[in-house]
Amino acid sequence: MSSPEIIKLFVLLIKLIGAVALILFGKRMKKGVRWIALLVSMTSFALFISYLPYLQNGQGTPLRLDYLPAMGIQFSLNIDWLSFPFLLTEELVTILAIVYALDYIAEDEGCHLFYGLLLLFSAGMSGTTLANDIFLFYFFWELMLIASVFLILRWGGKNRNATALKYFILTHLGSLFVLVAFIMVYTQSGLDHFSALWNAFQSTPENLPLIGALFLIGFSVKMAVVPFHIWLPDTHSEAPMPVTIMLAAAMLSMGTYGILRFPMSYFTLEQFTIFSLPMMIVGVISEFYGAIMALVETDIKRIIAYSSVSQMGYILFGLGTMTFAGVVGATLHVIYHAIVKALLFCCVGWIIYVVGIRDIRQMGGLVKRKPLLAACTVIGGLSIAGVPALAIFNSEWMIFSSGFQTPYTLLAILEILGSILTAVYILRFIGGVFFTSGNVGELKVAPLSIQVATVILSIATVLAGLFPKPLFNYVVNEIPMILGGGW
Amino acid sequence: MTLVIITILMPIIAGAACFTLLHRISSVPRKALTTAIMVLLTIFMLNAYLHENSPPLCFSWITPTGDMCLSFERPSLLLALLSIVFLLFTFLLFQKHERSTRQIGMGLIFFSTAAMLVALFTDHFLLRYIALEITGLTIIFSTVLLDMPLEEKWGHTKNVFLGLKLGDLTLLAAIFLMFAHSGTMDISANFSAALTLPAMEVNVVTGLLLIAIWVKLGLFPLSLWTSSVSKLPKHIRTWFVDFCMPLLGAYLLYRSVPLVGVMHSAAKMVFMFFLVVATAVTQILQKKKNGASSIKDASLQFLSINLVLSAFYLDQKQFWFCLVLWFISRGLLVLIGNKYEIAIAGRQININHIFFMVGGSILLQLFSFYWYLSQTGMQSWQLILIGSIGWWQSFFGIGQLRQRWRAMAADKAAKEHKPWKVFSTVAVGSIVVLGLVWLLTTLLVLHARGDAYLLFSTVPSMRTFPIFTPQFWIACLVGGFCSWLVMWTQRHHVFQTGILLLNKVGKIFRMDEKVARGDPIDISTQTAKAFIKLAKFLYRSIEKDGLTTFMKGLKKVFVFLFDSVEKYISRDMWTNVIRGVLGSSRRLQKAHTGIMRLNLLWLLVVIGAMVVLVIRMNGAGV
Repeated sequence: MSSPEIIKLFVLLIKLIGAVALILFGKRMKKGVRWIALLVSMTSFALFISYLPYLQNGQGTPLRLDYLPAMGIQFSLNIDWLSFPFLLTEELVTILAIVYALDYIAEDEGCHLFYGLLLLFSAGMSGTTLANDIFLFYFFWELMLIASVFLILRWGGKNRNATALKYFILTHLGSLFVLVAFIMVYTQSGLDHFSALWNAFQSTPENLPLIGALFLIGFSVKMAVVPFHIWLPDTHSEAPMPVTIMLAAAMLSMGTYGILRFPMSYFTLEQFTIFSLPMMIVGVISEFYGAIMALVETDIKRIIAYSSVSQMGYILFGLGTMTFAGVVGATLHVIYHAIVKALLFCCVGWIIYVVGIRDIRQMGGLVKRKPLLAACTVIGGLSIAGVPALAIFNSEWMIFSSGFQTPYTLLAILEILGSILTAVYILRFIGGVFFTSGNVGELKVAPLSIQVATVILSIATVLAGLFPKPLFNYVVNEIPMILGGGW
Repeated sequence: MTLVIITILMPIIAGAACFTLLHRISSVPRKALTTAIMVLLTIFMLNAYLHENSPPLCFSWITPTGDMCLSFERPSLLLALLSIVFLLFTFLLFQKHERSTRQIGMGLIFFSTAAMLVALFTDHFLLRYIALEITGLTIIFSTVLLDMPLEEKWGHTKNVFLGLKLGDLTLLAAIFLMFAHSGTMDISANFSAALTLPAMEVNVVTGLLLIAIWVKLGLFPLSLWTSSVSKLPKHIRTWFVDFCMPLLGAYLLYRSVPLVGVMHSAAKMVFMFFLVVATAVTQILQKKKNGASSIKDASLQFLSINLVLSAFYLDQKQFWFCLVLWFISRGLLVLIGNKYEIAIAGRQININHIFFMVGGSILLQLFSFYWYLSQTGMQSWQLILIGSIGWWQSFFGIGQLRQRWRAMAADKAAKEHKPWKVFSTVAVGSIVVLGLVWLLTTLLVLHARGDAYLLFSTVPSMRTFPIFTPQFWIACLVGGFCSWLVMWTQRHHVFQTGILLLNKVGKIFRMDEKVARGDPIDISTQTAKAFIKLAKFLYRSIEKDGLTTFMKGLKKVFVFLFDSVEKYISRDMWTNVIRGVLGSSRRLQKAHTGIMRLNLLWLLVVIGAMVVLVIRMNGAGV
């Protein structure tokens, strides 16, 4: 096995081993489990980064091991330019979520299980992006769901049971759409690795509209765009905060990855055209609907959750334009959204921790008492509102510009003007918590880990906004793989 | 290091110093240092203006946008130089009178200056947009300096943010419409490409640009942000509202002139008519007690309207001339108006001098506008608009007279002046101010255009300029005569007597609002009365109650959506479905205790349906 293959294997394996070890033996380690979890996630990240030179030099051949040779099923892993941005997002978000969680779970609350499942959740996402065959993709796709369901069931809010069940069933339903599409493709090729799929897709062009629709619906459920978003607000608000961060910042991006990896990688530009307008329309509806709901919602955690619905609308719109700017912008938006959403949820977690309530109507006046928290929230808020020099602007303008490169100018103008609603709800959020008069009583001091994670993300938001070029240069490499590379 | 970098970096460093260091030193050296920085910046700009061939600064930010460059060009450099000079004067004017020249405010001013310079010096659309947004951000952040309760302050912050954001987003939409066609972010190339767009798209692009300009110029009804920052410390407010943002809007208008020119005449009419009516409404409803401040604000609006109107008629070169005139007139108005506001507290300045200079500045701009207008061939639809402008101006004049009357009535000292003294001051003041300003402006403009450097070589081309036309001198005399007439009639109670008589006879001229006895506006006709009623109705129904009603209605829709749709599909429907599924599967459990224990009967149904689907798609084969 060559070095790149070993690296790929261990990026995934180290998390799986870490997760299993913590679940089985973590109880004896007491306080050490959280540091082990952090070490594991950082090691995985370091390994992933060490793969970058191989990727840049074009030495990244897939790792292939036979799993069920008789059925043409392999255990195949790969990191390419398409999976790179998503894997980067997952790895970073995992580290930040674990840092945030360092003081979140008490030892007597099953700390080892929490970190073990958190790593398993992360491994599920990493496995999905590393997978180079549909069997493995689907396996890890479901693994991340199962791990996150257990996390919500055990450490969630008071409605956790109903929420977890709802989350499981709805997202699983979406997965079934994907599964059906996979089965249809697999039956054509008889092989499950990605390189064999092109012929499978193209051999039955009459099935492509149906396959495309199945993929898009399935992955849209994971993206939580309207009307498939109904699992998201409840799940985000009931899940423990580190899990919410991972759900919002990393897991939602899996839907985008799925769309890019399958329908948009194996369809030609002409074949995908029929999905363009529906995707753009759903994207605009999602943007408006999520923002409007965030505007009316009073639970601060749910406000930010609805914001995700709105932001996923931008991504779907960008992908739907089928333009260079749209696809690159959508991919960048995934990364920037992850950073900013993680930041906003960290801030929300911090607010809830110090205030002890979640209803925005009962809050106010925190700016003078918690200036650092206010500053971080303002950075996150301004960023999601698309203010330049902060992360999301760089992707947002590309998505906006892509709309005008299609025949649907009106939709593009709507998309731009809809973003003012984002500004409105985020101003309401910031104003309600920090700048209105309110008596929230005695404030608690948040643990250092929460503060550190929040500040790191705030700095990352600014840096990502100021220096977008490196990331852009990585993301742009995925373009030849999308829609037949006919750009 | 090129001059461009130094020019941009200097205000940034100064801003950072204001935030970090300057508050630690005492007041006098701090003010001296701040002044020195501005003087230095002015010198650098002047140097750049005289040595235009400074190498551009180029950098790559994100690949699809191409290289972003900052370079000196005479037109933008002249505007930048003028704005820095005005900033310096504003600072000097207020540093004595402002109780606290807070360093955070100066820091924001310097940052906004840097952003403004970037916006002026770049020919890259995205960079300009970013610079405009950052300028807007500094204004938003300046609201922390508002001296009011937190909640009220936040309300203003929101207004500024949303008001400016609307303009930015429409600008962004316009940029991308052009970018989609041109494939480049170069501003000149974009505007050239936009001219080849289909007529409909040209109208859309221009409309979007005009909305953005409208916001930046602070024109009604998109002036929400200006009123929200009106209670800022004077020097900060003056810089943001009177100089920085309007200049950026006007410069954008200058670049957009070719597009505005090819706009469909119906669209032009709509825009112009709306502009005229909307501003007339605000002028008539001007409720400020302070006469000078009111006249200053009204005049600034008037100047900006004239500028926008001239964009509809003039070519870019002619418009450039108007733009410089506009900015200088604006600067003078603002500085003089501010000086008066400071002085009126100590009763140091005669009110008449201020009015004449303010009036002179307006006349200056007004006549240059009409001069250029007279150079263009008039069409019938244009005449209609000119008529509407005249109509509006008559109301503006009445409003001004009314304000003037009130100010004079309130000022005992002013009553003591002889009317002829007033008249002579009008004439002399107007001539001196207009002459100097005109000369300076002409030289600057000609220099910027590179037409000529010496006065004598410009004389032939200046022959037809407004200052050399008889209309100009007649206007000065008429202005003076009007003021004298007002004074004279006041002294002899002409209007009061007439009004009382008219009111007794028919009571048809009574206004709804309470006015001072003998207010000249009471002589207005039924048209004026009807107009004011209409204006008030518009204000109440659109601006005041209309907005509230609309927002309430919108909120109702949102709440309805939330309660009925979102809550239902996210909570109630889900609960019902789960209950239904669990209930049915429990019943099935009772009937069959085998596989149905899983309680996921419905899941199996879905899987079954999908398997059938797959079989069907594969031609009945698995």
